[in-house]
Amino acid sequence: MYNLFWSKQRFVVPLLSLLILSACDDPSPIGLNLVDSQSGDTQVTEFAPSFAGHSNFGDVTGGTNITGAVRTLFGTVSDPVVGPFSMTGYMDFINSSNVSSEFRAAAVSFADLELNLDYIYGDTLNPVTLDIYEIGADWISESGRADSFLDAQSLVTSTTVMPEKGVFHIPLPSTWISGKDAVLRSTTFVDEFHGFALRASQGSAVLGVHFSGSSLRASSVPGDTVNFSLSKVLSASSFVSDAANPEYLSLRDGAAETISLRFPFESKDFGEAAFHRVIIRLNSADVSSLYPVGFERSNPIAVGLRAVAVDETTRLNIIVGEIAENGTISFDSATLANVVQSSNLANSGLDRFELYFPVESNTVGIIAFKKGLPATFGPRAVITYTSLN
Amino acid sequence: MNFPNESRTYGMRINLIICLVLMIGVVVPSTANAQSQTDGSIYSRFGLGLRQSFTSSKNQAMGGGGLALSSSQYLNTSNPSSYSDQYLTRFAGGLTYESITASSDGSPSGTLAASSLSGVNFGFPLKSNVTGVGFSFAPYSRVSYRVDVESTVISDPTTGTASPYVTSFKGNGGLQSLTAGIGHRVNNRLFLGASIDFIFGILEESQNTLFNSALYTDRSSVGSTRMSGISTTAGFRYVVPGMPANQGLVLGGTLHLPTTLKATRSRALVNQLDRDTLGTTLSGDVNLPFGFGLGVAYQPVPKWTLVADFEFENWGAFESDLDFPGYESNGDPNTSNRVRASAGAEFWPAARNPFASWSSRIAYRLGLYTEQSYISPFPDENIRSIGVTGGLSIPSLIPGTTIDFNLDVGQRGKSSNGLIQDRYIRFGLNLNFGERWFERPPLG
Repeated sequence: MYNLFWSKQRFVVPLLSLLILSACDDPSPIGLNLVDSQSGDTQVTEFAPSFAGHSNFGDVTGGTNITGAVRTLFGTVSDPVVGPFSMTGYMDFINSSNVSSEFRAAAVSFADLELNLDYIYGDTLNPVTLDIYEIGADWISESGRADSFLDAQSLVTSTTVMPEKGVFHIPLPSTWISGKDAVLRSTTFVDEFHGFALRASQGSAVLGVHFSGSSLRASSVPGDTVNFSLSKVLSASSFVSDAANPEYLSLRDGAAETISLRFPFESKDFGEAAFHRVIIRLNSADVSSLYPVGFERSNPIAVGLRAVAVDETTRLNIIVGEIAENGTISFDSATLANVVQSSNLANSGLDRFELYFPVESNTVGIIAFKKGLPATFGPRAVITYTSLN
Repeated sequence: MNFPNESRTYGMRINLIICLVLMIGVVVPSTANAQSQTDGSIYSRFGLGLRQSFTSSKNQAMGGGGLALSSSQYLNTSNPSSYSDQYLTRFAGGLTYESITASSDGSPSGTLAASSLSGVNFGFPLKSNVTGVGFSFAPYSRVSYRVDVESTVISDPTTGTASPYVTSFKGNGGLQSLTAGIGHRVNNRLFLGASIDFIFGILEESQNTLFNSALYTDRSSVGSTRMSGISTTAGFRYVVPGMPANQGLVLGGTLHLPTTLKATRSRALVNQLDRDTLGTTLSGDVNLPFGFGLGVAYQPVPKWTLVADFEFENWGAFESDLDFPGYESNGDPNTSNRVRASAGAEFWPAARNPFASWSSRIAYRLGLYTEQSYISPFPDENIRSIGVTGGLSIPSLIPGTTIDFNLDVGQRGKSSNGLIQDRYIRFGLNLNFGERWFERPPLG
């Protein structure tokens, strides 16, 4: 009897313990009438944020051959939406590690810029006259923005090019070559030479030169050309005049300004609330009819939304939304809901939202929003929340 | 009769202790931290939660009373005067598995189940069968409920997309009682005892909005009320003289003094690991009322023990600076005095014969009880419970050690007038370990 009981009990006790520690359930709404909601029902509301105009915060236009912007942009355009603007392109080069001893032994006899023109915005029917200046001091391209201008006063040469995609060459004058002969042949070329700035003096197009296929070429021995690869770029933007189309509020890629969005709601509109989902929708306008024949432009494919704190320094990139064929942009992410949630709890110091173009875009394309639209066609936020009051 | 050898007995003793320690280790932390499961009665939402009382597995199987009971086989924490009757160091604990089927007029029923700690007791004699001390950790009240409501919301007015979501109302936590007491045999008739009860715990109430979609962020609002305070209990037992030989009649009683718990309440918005405090933290006093209990135990023959008990708690005078469901500090409270009556019987064939056969040393217990809750969802309704209990006490090879299986089947409330009727079944597993400790082995 003892043996039988205890031999079974050895298994029975642990099994019973497992049974007791387990639980199964079939919850139901029974008892709902005995539960006071700590909070209200979950509901959806629409708010119409307003565009708060432009704020001065430059787009990221700097890059290296590893990260950031992939091209430098230069030229002047009279855009029918954003008005006339100009871009100054900066580029620097790096010497190759396998330069022949023959190149270093003889004086440089020839040098030019070989540039891969892969982007055009503007008039493609008329030539563009470019002025090439030498940059006077070392500069940093990483995270460089469109409002960053470099010191480049020394004119090297001028040239005229047709706005056509492909590789073109800008011969450098012999006076400049002789002046830089020692630098070009030096192993410390990177420290002694800081690149060129390209500006347009005539024409109405912005050109973009890509890292790939662009270099400074030099030769001292016939048949032995050394390539100094493009190592870093930066594009700076400025308005020629403030003559934007008054019917639109526009955001331009590669610009020194951005568009701000403000929500009309304050904490009192929701009280304490749990935000489950926030969607911000924008409708961009079709402005293609405003552009003349021969004006080449490519539409941006995506635009980003970021939060800006009241300190005007803290910015959080939230999400990049694709621009649909009908011009609709939808920002919908958990991060956006969290930002609004923190703002409601007064934890974040959120001041406003800004639109921006992703660094990868690296063009001067524009997106425009028609002013004066009714709320249903203007910017709007769809907010799913539960009131906690 | 073949007794196992000493080493085997020692091994089983170790197994029992391990089981007990595992049981406590698994359940006590979760109970103390208000993380217990939330699948219980909706009535636990009201006031400070459903009152709990686990005083011993023997008492539990005999209707839950036992104020006049005394036994060297069990540490009876319902009455500190019973701590005097100890000659073994005793360590006991148990788990309860509860399944509740809730029903209401016009609604389909729902079933919830969960396990929880019944209690842990520890006691030892200071002077064998004269003076003893006891310690216990047991729930004082328990909050454990969950109500899930499925809904949809038109999440995108532009597309008319409807998104389903579940609002889950949950409550968990409860108050725990950590008690230290002493009992003393004044003479052969009178036993007195007293205990200090540290009552503490967290009551949590949450509302979770769950979408089951990556497009939405699930968030919960959680209200937590922390409370703590010290109460005292005094008890007596009196052996009625003049009873015939082999019969015994004992009266017992306890008095629980009123006490004030210090309470703080905060609300938070919870999203996964993020917790943001909402509003300001409230503080206040929660005054627990006095209570008393009277019981009688009668042994017509040593094999049979009969008990009857009555308990009263003056919750009609309950006061709190903080509001609780069913209680508003500035309104008419839904509280009423808690009354509990129970009766039970034990049949123990072996009675006082430790050398009886194993089967005759199994104790069989039966009981019934009725209770009026101290709080109700509605002011004109009282929540009553009624149930029957039963249990088996299985002796082990270790003298003084038993494994007890208890059952409690009952119902609470009613399904009309907007109330809920809970039909519950509780299964209790209790380990009750006793051995001589702290004794110097004889020389030679």
